[in-house]
Amino acid sequence: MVESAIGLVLAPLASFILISFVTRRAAILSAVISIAAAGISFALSLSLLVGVLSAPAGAGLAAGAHASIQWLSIPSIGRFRGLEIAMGVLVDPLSATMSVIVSLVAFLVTIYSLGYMKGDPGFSRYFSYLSLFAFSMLGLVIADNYFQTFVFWELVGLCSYLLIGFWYAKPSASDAARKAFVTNRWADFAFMVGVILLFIFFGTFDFGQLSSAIAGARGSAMLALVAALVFVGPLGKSAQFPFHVWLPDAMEGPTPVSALIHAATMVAAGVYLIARGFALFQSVPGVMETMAYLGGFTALFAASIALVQKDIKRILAYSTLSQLGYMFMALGVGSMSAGMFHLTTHAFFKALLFLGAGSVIHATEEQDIFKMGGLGKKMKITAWTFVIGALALSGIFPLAGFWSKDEILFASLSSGHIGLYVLGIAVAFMTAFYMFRLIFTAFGGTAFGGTASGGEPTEHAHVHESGPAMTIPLIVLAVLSVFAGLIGSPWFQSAFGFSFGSFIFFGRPEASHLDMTTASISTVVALSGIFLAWLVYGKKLLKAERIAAALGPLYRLLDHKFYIDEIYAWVFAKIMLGLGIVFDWIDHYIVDGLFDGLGGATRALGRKLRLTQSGRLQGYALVIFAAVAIAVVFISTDLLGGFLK
Amino acid sequence: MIGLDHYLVLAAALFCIGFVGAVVKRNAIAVLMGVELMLNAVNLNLVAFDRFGVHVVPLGQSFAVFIIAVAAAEVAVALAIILTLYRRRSNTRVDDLDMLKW
Amino acid sequence: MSSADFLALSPLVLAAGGSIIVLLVSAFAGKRPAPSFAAALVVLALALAAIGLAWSEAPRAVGSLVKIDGFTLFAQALIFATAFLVALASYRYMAPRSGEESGGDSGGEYYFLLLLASLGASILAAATSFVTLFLGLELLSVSLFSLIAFRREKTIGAQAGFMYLILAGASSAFLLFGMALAFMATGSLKTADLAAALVSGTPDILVLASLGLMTVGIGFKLAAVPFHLWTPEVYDAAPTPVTAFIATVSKGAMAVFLVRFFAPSGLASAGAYPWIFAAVAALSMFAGNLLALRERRIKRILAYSSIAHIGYILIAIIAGPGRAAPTVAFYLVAYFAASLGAFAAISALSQGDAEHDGLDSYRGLASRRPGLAAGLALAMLSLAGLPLTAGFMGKFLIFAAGEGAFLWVLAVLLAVNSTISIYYYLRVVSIMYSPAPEAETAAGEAFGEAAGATSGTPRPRSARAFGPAAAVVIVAAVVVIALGIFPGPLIDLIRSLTSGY
Repeated sequence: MVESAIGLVLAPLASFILISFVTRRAAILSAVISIAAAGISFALSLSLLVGVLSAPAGAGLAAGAHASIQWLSIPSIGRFRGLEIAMGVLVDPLSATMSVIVSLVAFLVTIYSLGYMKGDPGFSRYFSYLSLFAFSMLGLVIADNYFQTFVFWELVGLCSYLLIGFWYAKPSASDAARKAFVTNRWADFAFMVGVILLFIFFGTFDFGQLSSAIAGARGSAMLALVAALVFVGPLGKSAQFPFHVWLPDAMEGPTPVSALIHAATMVAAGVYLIARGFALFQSVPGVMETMAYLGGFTALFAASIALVQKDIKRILAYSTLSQLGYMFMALGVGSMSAGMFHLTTHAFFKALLFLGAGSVIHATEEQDIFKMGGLGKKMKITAWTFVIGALALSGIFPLAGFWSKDEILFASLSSGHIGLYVLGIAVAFMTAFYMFRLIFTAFGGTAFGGTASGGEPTEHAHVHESGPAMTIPLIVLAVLSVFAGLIGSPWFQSAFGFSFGSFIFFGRPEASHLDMTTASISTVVALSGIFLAWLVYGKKLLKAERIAAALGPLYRLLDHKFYIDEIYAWVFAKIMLGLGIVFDWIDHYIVDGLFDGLGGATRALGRKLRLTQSGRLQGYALVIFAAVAIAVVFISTDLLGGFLK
Repeated sequence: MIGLDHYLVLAAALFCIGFVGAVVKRNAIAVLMGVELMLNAVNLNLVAFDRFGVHVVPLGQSFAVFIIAVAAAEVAVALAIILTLYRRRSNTRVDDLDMLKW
Repeated sequence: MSSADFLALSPLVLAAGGSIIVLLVSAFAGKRPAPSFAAALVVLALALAAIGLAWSEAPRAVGSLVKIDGFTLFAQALIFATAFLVALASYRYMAPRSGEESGGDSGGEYYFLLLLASLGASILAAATSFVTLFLGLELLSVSLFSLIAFRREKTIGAQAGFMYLILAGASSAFLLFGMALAFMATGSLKTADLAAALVSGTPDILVLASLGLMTVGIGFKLAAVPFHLWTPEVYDAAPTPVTAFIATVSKGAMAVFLVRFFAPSGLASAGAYPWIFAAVAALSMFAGNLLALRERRIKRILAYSSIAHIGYILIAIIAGPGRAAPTVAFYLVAYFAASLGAFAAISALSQGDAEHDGLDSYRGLASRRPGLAAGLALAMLSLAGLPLTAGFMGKFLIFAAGEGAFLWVLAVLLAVNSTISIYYYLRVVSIMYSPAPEAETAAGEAFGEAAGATSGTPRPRSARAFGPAAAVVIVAAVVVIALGIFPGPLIDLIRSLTSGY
């Protein structure tokens, strides 16, 4: 089992190395290698999952395998505490499931990219990055300690940077890449401090050892501090408020990348990490509450922005933010099963939606949904799979999203978070609305948003269905989006004796249930969202413009994404650069000014000014002297104090 | 009677004069002289400590010899550099060293 | 002097004797720099090999002047190896350039000066007495004056050399004045005696003043705030390989001396000294990183970055006995490798045609010279401290060395700073990987296109071909990656060497 786990990580790495150094000129060969590596990873991860499943139910950690080698070992000498860092593999239901999700989506996306990236000059480079990403992500999934997690955590961030900025010729793409990276680094900074504090307090990075150590330290202030710091890392990676700003911009990358990294896997790494270290977070109620409400807030906040976006990928990006918020909410109210279950189903249907969007963009070379229209007739497979994905996302029975969303709502209700429950219902309504707004606008009606003024616009005359490399992954994902939810349904439970909740859980297994009240409320709400979207954008009984006008300021607020980007830009410009300017200014003027005064040179005009500024050398000497004076006085304060006494 | 204190005060005064010279003089050679004066103030200190101290081995004096030797090397290099600059711009004013600006 | 003493000093003796030979070779070789270059490489390689000989005698104090121990030998090996790589990176860069008058004589003396500077640094790293401290420091400084001003056809180099000379001279004078006071107070020229006087209950005002004055000389070489002001100008104006030498060897040797002086005595964590260190460290980190944010010239960016890195190293020094030496040693290796990689890449780009120093000239580098761009990018990422690079392990060890509330504040400041630094390191990387304005058509074919296939204006063949500087970039990249992934063996080695600290 351990061998398979190592193999599934190393296969993509081998592919990355092979493509970078050997086959980079042979584009097709590179793609084949990358696909083969992803396929091997997928097969191995399936074998892991089967292995874990065949263990007795409820065995928990014992069902898996754990192996590690000492990677860095520094013995303690004197006051210097030693440092032991292991590199290991942890196979349990959680990591086995996650690795299947990651490798499956990666496999499908790699195949899809064969069609999507056809003819791109950076074809080989693209596939090498994809393999590098798969390696990093799988390494993150099977890591058995926080240190290793952190290393791979940064690596997936680097891959994300490389892939967002893949078309680096576009300034917007390289800006977005940098924004994503830098935003994540701020979050990772807290994460790193947290992890190191964790090590200082408990003397180990290992997940298993930590969970028992943490149990003994419940309620202490430092545990709260550590949990809060570590929690910031997932906030950044999963783009939760206030770190969400990078994700919408990340859509500058190629669409399959958005599907793989920025919808299905990497952004879910935050959720995964929380599930992985659930013992830590669960022991600090404050962090759990924050997690729940922050997640709920992000879900509502992002869904409301998605209502008014026009770019197909941005709508999906905000939807991803919102769904990640859902997952955080589930984890925050204490249900790890529900969070991971939603992660699983979301990975499939969101990847499907993104790949569908990619298919549309590939065909029309257009991202504004209001410039599309009538695509349903021309791209049948894309359209139908997209509708399936949207229905799954909206939580329509019996598709995947229905089951996982209900788990979350039920979990928040049963844990007494009525507010979050109501909020979750509201988000469900908005989700259904914005998804079907997209569908009715882009796929329904006639071209150009159904102006209905007759005649087929020539621009879209060439639009046709994408090739099999792209449609087959869509179909596979559509099938998964329909059926994946069943693994968490009571039917599955009664048929096979176990379900998602009794497989991945924290503390005690959670039986699957179908809370009829919740199910009916959420279905009604989702259907009414779809109905409203149909009224406005399908039938056009209500004018969208009039609604926008009526809502005036609110609409503008949403359209500008609550001005968060502007606020951040202002903070950065004013504070960070401001400090830089201050230091710069000190260097320029104080130092030079000192010299000017002493040298007796006058600050006259133009040329004269230039001359006086040139004697920096002596100004520098003065600064040195001033520093010495301060140092001497400071060092001898004890003695000077003695004199005064 | 001239004692250690006198030497110390003299050395400190020389040091300060050297420093001020290095900071305010416009001529590169004068600036260099200022720095050399600072070094020689140190030499005076070291030799005075040897003379008035209780040390058996004349450590201070031998150190002073080292300093003199090094200072000579420094001056040699400095003059070579100043000469290069002089060839280029036919003066040795420190203010004219303006190519290092931002 | 016994034969054991001689063995212990053999690397220094070889470097000193070898430098004379290189000087002679350069005198006889006329205008060709190649013989001196080769001789210098041989001498440096021999000196490196002699470290092994000296190791058999370590630890050994030779008189009261120097003490050869594991840490010293490690530092000397690092210094000689770095000098070797700097010499390699210099070869094409320092070769006479077409269209410029070569000033009558060749670059042979350049290698002599480089050797002499390395010798000075090695003495500094072994010094246990004020005399050797001063001698090593001045040997290093005087060679650097000439090296900075070496390209006579460029006045800017001479100006920077003069600035460095005056400031170094003045700060040496402060240092010496401090030494004289310490001599008077303790009657000894041994650094250990001064440290002992400082940790003893109530130090004399003379002792305290001497430490304050000596701070200048030390701080100047380290380029720590507030003694950093010369750095951007000198880094920018000096020949690039010399800049690399200043950024690495010159700083590193002083850092090693500082550890040897402060760590064993426990001085770094007693009384007011940790506060001074902490203040200087914090100021250096913030000033370096914030000034770099707005800088547009790559050598100045690296100058500011080096100021910040000294701040990080100072944090490790405060960590005190048992922790300072290994942490600093590892950090120096990581920092040296990344800096060398960056400067060697700049040297490789700057040979044959004009200097590549404005960031704008790096636009689209990835499509013109993918190998060099990758090497430079890796160096930047390591300096920024990204995982799987040596820089990350270095910073991580500094973190791990931190225990106790006082250091924790600094460690958190370090983390804040390394996050700030991402901005400017990443800017260099993204500029290299964005398309060149004049070569927009070729932008897409970045990957897989070998050097030289795409750029618009053809350049001399020699400027493009794989040269020794490119080899240095590769070596640095390998070290950065290897230490990032398998730091264990080096850490073990360092710990066994620094067991006395």
